[in-house]
Amino acid sequence: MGNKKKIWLMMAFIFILAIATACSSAESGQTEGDQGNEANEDAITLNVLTSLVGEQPLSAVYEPGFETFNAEHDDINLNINTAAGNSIREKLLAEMAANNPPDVFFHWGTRRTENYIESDKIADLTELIEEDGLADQYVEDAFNPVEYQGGTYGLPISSYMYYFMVNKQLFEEHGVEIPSTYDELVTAVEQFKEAGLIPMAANNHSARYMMLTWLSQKKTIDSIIPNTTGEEPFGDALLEASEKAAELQQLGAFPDGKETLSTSQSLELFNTGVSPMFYQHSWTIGAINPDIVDQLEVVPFPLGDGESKNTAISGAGFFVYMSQQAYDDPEKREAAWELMKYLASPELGKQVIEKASDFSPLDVDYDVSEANEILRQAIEIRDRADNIVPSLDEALFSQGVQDNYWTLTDELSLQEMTPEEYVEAMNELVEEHPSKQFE
Amino acid sequence: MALQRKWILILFAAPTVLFYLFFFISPLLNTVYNSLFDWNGLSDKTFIFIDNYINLFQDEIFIRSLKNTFYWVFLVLFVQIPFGFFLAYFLYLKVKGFKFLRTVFFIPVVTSTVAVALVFSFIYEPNFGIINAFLREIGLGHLTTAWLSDELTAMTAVSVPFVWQNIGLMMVIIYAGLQSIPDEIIEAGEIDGVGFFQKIIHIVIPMIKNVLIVCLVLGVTYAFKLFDYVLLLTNGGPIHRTEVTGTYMYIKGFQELNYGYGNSIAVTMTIIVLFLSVIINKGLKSKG
Repeated sequence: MGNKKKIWLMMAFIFILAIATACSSAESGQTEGDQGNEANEDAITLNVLTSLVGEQPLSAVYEPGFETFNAEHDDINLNINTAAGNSIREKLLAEMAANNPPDVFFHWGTRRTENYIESDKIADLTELIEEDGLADQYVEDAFNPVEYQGGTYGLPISSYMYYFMVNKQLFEEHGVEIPSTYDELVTAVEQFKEAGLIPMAANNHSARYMMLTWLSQKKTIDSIIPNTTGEEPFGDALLEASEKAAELQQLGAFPDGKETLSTSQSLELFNTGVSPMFYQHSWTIGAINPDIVDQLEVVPFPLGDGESKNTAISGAGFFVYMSQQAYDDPEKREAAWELMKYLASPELGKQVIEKASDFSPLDVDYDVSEANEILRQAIEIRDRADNIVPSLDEALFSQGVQDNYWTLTDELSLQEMTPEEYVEAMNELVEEHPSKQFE
Repeated sequence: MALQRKWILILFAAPTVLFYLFFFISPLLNTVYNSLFDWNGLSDKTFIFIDNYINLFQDEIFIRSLKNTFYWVFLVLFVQIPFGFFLAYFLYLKVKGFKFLRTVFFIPVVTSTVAVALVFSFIYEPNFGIINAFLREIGLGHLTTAWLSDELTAMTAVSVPFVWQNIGLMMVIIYAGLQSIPDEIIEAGEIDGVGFFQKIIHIVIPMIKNVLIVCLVLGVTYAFKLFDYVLLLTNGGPIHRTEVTGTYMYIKGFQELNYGYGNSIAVTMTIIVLFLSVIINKGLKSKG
């Protein structure tokens, strides 16, 4: 064999060896998120997908929560993968489609998991919940958003409420009365407009929440479900609510370009005193400027008309799930269930209220002095409400309706359609994608 | 000996060829295949042949997103490349500090898209944003608007960062082309008394025609491919006013779990880009 040939063959061998080495080291490499119990070779490894990281208020509870769990469990090794905020939707979908789901993951209710449940990707936890008697530790109806056709698919970890907050100082300064009815709200909007302020610190979500609240003031959970299953079309209640939302838009109650404002940007209008009123999801409570808390007050949302009831839109909103793959492996199921029970435990539920300033679905006692003042007021408003209804945004609607109705509501808001057309379009949408949750 | 040498060459080429087949060709074929199914990425696939394509061309939102994407192509042709050309020509004249300016003009290209989008979201912010504040300061408050929402301005507003960021890229490519023009040709033209615009139109542009074709193909490809600015600034809204084919494909595939339909959008986009690239190449080369 000539020297030249030997050199060629040697180079080829080195090349293949290099590729093989690179590949094998990539496979055996430990991922960044490993919170390992490396000492215990028999430890079960759980892949966890969480969105509660970084600036998310709930991360203050769940990031240290994972560390504590890991420290207390030598037999379980957590491999934490993160997808901050809403990006968890795309990451979870990619992993589910690749048939490589995380063992345990956070997500919203069936409005975002219906397809996974129907494709048998998420485990039905009904038996496990009953065996451990977990239902008793939650507030009533906490499981509703994860119940699907008789099964229960997740454990609630946080709740929500839409809260109406006013800047008392700005109201006093401009001699405006805090509104308790829609008509008073219109008057307040006109007065603040004249004073050069933006009456509502809102983005498109806030405007939609307002409309949903006026709708819910004339509904109960039992009367609203038939509207989502298509058994009964939306009627006058939605028409009146959408007329109010459209009228406020015409009056200039909202900031210009609210459709493209993020929730944080709209909150900034309130935090800086440009707007005296704010109606939003409770996750924003932790982001309110602490310097102005003394000037603020949470008040009941204005009643639509004489027939409206004092209503709080509230319910469980975020959950922890187990994949069907993990459930089918007895060892993983046990480890995953242990982790889920911890994540949805009263211990962390208390911290959700005290540290993350958010609502908890757990029936826990908390230290009032530790809780955020705004959250405390919001809880009081909810407890005093005559009627508590979950948000159509957070629960009840099918995934198909959920995917389309935000755009539809934006069309109403931008006056691209009339309230009558909006109601008709909503009924068509529900007819096309009826909720199957309660079948 | 020659046969053995051939095998060694094949051995060396194989990893790259396999890599290319696995990571580039196979996903492309897979996309075409999936576009023929009704599939949400999770359940069993249902073969529907070309129904996704039939629905696509009856889908008003897709048509709107296609129009918006062609608006980007228009901006590439009539704003991005001409600006890139004049910046490149400016540098080609070796003005004082041209090396520094070359770096400055190129900085946007290497800047993170997220950072650019964030800056522009502050610029466009309707209540505190720089544009509206400036207009109010100079007494043109009546011209203020919600730049990203207003039907008249939304699409242009999301296009500006895309056009601005890639002008530097066009400039660098054209600048490289300008440097390859022999000085004698320019000098001969100057001796013959050509004016500034005559020089550009009759000497410079014909000499760098192939480079301009590359710019055109790249620009059209980017216009169809890029959607991050839309996603970050408006997410295609409000009410699809700023939807482009890229965002619509993403929403259908990854948010509404309509994988088959999303794949049909991807295939359609690929065909359009290929068609335009061929037209540009054939059309401009034949005139040479």
